[in-house]
Amino acid sequence: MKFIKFYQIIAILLLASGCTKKFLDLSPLSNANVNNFYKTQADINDAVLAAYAMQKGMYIDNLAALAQLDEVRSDNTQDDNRVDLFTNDTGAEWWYWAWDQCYRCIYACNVVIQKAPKVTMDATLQNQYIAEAKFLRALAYFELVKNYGGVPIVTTPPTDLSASAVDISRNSVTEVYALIVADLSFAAQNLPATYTASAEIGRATSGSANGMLGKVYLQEGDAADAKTALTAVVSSGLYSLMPTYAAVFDINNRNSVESVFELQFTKNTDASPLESYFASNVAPLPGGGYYYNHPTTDFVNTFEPGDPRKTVSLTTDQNGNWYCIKFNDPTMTSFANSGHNFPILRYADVLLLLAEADGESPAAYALINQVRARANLSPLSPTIPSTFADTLLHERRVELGFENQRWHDLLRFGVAIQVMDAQLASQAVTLNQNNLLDPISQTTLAANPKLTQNPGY
Amino acid sequence: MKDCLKKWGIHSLTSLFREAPLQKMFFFVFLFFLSPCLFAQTMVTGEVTSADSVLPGVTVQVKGTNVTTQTDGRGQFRISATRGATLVFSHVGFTTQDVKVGARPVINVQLTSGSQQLSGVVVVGYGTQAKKDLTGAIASVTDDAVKNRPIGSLNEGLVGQIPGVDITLNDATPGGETDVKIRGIGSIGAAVEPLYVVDGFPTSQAFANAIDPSTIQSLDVLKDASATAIYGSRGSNGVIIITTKSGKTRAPTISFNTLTGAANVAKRDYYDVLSGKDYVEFELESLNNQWVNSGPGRLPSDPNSVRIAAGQPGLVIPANIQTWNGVNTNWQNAIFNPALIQDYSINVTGGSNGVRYLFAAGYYQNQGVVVGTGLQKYTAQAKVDADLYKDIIQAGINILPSYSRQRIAQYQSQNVYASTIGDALGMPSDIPVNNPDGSYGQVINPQPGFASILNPVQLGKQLQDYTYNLSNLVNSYLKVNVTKDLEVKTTIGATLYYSQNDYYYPSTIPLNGSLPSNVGGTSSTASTINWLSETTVNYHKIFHQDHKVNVLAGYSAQKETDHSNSVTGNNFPNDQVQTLNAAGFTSGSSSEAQWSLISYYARLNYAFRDKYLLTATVRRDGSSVFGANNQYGNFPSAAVGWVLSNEEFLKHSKQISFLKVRGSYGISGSNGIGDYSAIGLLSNVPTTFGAGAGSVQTGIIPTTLSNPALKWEKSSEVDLGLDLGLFNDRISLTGDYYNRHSSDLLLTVNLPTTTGFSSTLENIGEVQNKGFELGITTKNLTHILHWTTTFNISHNVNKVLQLGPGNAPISGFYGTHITKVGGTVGANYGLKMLGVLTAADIAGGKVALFPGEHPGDPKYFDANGDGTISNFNGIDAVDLGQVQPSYIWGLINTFSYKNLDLTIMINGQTGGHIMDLTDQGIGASGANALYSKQFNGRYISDAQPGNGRVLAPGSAFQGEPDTRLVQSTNYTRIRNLALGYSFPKKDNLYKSLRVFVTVENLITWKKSEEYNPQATSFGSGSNVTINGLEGGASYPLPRTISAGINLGL
Repeated sequence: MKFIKFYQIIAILLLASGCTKKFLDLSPLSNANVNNFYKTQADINDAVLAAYAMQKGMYIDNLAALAQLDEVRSDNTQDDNRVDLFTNDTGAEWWYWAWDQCYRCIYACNVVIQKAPKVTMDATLQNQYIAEAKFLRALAYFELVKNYGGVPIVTTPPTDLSASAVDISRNSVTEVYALIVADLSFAAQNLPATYTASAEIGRATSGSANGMLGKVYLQEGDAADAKTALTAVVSSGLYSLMPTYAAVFDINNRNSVESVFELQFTKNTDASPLESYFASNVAPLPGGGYYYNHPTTDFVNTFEPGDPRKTVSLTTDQNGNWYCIKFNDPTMTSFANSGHNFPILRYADVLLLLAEADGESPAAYALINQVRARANLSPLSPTIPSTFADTLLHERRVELGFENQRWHDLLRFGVAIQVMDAQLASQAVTLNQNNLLDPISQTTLAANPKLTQNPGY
Repeated sequence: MKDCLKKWGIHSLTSLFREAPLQKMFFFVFLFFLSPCLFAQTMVTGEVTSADSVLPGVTVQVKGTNVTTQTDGRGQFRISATRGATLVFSHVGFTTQDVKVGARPVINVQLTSGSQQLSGVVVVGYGTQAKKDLTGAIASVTDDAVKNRPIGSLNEGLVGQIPGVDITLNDATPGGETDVKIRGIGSIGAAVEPLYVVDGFPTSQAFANAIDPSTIQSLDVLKDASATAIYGSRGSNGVIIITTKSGKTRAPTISFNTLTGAANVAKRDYYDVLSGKDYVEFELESLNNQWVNSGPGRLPSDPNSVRIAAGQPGLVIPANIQTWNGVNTNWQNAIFNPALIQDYSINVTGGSNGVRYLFAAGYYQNQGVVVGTGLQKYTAQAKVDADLYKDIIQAGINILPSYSRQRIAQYQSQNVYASTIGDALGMPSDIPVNNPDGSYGQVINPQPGFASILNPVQLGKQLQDYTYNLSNLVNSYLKVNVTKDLEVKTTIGATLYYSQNDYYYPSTIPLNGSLPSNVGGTSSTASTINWLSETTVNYHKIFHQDHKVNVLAGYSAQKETDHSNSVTGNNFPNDQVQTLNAAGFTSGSSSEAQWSLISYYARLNYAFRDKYLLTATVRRDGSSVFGANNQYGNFPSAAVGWVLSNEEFLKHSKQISFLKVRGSYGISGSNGIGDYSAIGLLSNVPTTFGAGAGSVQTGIIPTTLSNPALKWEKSSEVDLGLDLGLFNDRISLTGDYYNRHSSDLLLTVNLPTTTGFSSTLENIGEVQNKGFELGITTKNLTHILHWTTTFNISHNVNKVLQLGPGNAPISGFYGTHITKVGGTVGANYGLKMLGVLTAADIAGGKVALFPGEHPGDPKYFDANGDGTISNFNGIDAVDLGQVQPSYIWGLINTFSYKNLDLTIMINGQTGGHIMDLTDQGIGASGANALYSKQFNGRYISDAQPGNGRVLAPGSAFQGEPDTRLVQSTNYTRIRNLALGYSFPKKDNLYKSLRVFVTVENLITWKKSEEYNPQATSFGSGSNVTINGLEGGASYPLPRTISAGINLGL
């Protein structure tokens, strides 16, 4: 009967309301999202790549904040008066950006460390991915602890966004170093010594981890452990100095035998802005330069006569102003678009660190002389006792200028106040112990009421 | 017997005797038959008609019983009733009529259109209700409000007509969308637009604008939460319900409407701009002042060589400023031109053999008063309803397609000022529209203060910028009257929307003084499909005569999928082919998004003896946009009403014909939080590895945080209302007081960056809107000359109650606007200018100064009292007035005398302010306008200090957002004036014929010089924190004079 059919239709329509849960679960179509990611080995690899990308942010994003906190803070370079003249201005953006970028990198690492164990995959690869993340996390915490002292330790991605969960206090310097050492030790054990696949060249190796571990131990003041870690790098036999200093910074010699770990860039699609940031305003480059991080006269004059490292590192513009050319890409065609890699740890640094761990000794001088020999400079010997520290510090300064080492070298050698007071005498600036740590930005403090400011700010 | 009387609604005999003599007589006749056993049940039949045709679907009810029926397709009804009973005839859109059953077995009734204030029927969500039974705040207007007017959108026609509804034509460009705010702003970070329901389909404004106004039956606006809660998570910004006409069983009726007019920008609406001569003088003074202020010992008379030597090449006086070239162009004249407006519509309604139909087609054209603008719109409708099985099963389909083609020549770039209107106001008046050789006049480059101004006439004529919109709403239903009390209806429908913008910047328009090196174009499309399935069950019954119950329950599922594509092309060889296939280089992108919504809803209407009214609703909405922890939200409401005029003590009042008080409370929501805001999204980040030069590899990282707690914004609202009819409804009044408290508002909350993120979206803010609305209709004259006055006024007070952590204020657009606790949303903000600094002020040392101020610069109020002025972090800034008006009002007078009719609509607003960046004047970066008010009365020297309000030309503070930039949005406008003549009916020729002339926007009185005082370029869209920012100049509302014909066949 016709009439009944209509009732049947109505009944069907009324019942057509099942599966509501599925109906409402809509995933973004034009963005990948967290709910359907981190399921496969490839996903985890992508997450590791993101951690490397975020690490680069620490060095290049927001006008190279880490360079400001190291080179500009030291007697090597100058730029922002608040940074290089130690004015107690907590509003300076560098303090914010350096902190922000380090924690963004830590977040990316924590994502890998949390997600990788949950994915079924080759166990060696799984450990390698976690080790890479721990390596990168250790580097970020190392930057934080060097610059700000004890910082909040975060080892998992946030799940609870309430104030009580996200507002966390600072950990002690010891706790932060303990995490860094643990992370780097894990990395040293689980990272491959080399990569065979061409596309993986440049990722962190066990050598990268041991080298950084040595540097971290030294910064902490533990020369014995530093020596063990650094010796492992040297005795691996995988690294050596490039024949000339110029060859080290030749754009064609990326990931050379001297490279222990470096930041990798590609022109146009994944470019480095550092060349343009560091160049003088009237430098003969596309779009000129920003002249951040420009050398002090003291630095320009610190090179021994005939040291080829001066001309590789520095040049003058048409007005006679010196600027850094160490990271130049001769093929750069537009502003801030360089494909030049940036070194985090070079074998030359490893040799000098090992010399430092050895302390004044013929072995240590032999290591320094290896580096000097490459610069065609005559070998040094301990003719005058107790000048070893000055000799080593000077060698590090000319070898590693603009590589974000100087300020923390000064701190490690315990001469920061003395050196900077001499440097800034003409500006009538004198330092005290409080100046050895950077302030935490006002913006950072405002976002987390549990954070305490460093003394003196 | 007493019980018997009671049963029939007669409570005391004495009360009956107070009635009119005729009724008394009737009562005696009535008494004659008095006794239930004497009441013979008879079959009453009859026909119900409207003024021009039979009416099917009219509800016929024996008053006080549950005996009801409906008229059939031919308007016929049969009902069993006792003599003496009263039949109640009710139908949507018509006045309910009571007819007593006498001795006659046949009752023919003619219903009149329900335009009366208190006796009409209003469309509420998922149903209709008699206006007298309403308990919520719902305003209705009929098609008269919007038809026969030269307007391109429905909302434009509603301006000033509905209390509590603030409609702003932010984009008065033909085809532009309007900005509608119902009862103030209840959100900060999400949408404030109301929900549009077109013929039962919840949708967006685009579909409302696709309707031909002549097919509109009614427009109903749900305002309070008790009315909007039935729309749950989409109701809190109010709901506009648009219902189109339906066919009726009768011979085909053809209605033909036409209107042709001419639009023009009234000269009185022009900005007073600098003449060519004054411009040159101004610019010379500006350069000299800047030179004098640039260093000690510098004189206005210093030649250019001295200025260059001093390293001030920017202060060199160019040749065109040294001597005026004699050209004086008013660029407003150049870009405004009279525009033809045409509107044609035809519709056919009718029905037979159980099938009823409406077919309509319309064409609207507006050539645009500004060069390079215009709109053509085609609309159509087909609505068919069929009785499938007697009057028990019905099915129907409604199809509403439209197509439009809109042109807006506007340079698409970051620079919002490069529009024809903005550039016309900024173009120096010493430049000719056309050079003697016929080429377009251009800004001389470099000309101080003018970076990227294009010749607006050339821009309007040569820039290709067309938007094509194609929309279709299709809705079909099947309805079964299971019993005479129970109806089940299932609706399935979809809206389809396609929009395409084709843009081409030709090689002939110079950019920054030289021809563009990179000619290019963009073609972008957006398409949407939105489908809806809905089933409702409606049960209505009258129990024991006194208890009228109507229960609605429903379920619906709705899902939308949006696609967008954009292709950009560059390096065109020439302008011959402007589609992107001719580009040397193209790049493109596309994206897709979806949302879905599942809802369960129910409503109970209960009336006891038509005196005590109760409405209770609840809706449960589950939405894909909410976080996993808050996937479903419940939105309840309740309202009560008391019809005092049905009580004994008022029933027979000669003065009070109707009186109802009502109160409601409800909770509704706003789900405009973005499709995927609750889900952590991943983004690609590049990094490099590999031997040799390496290669880019893509990492993937979360760039937004998942927030499974994210949910709708919530509004809880109290409404107290009063409906009053006096002197047999000669005066009718509706008043409402409301207090809407919006909470859980979406705001960006800063996070410690130790989380890896600097901010996230949370439900945290609170805003309150309190106010009142009043609508009065008076029938002043009702005999030969009919005169009716309708007046409405509404007042709203907006207050921010809570913001994010620490209640940190939200600053908008470089600090020109502020949203802070205790203030209004998006208030104007900046330094308060007290006057113009004189040399004496500076020498006196008592006036607080901005460092480096010179005579002729502004004298500012030192808000923090520290002795100096600073604009850093707003430390000396003050609230410079709210953006939204505090009062909006409308006044409509209609007169009719014999066959003549006259309507005058006036509306206005007070209490709002905007900040107009073009008032920064010449020299300020980016924003330039050459208004006389920046020249006349300027400070020249202490001896010629001017009027104390105008800065010296070249002041470095011209660009500072301060009091000078704040403009009042107060206005009063004669919105429409229409005079019509209806020819007497001639059945052999036509059923109706009316000719009319109408003037839209006859005259505007305004406090500011703005073309359209309340419009701002940042007014549209959801960012209410900068609603009051005018970045360019708004499209003017033209005065349109038109004539037309309404013909009914």
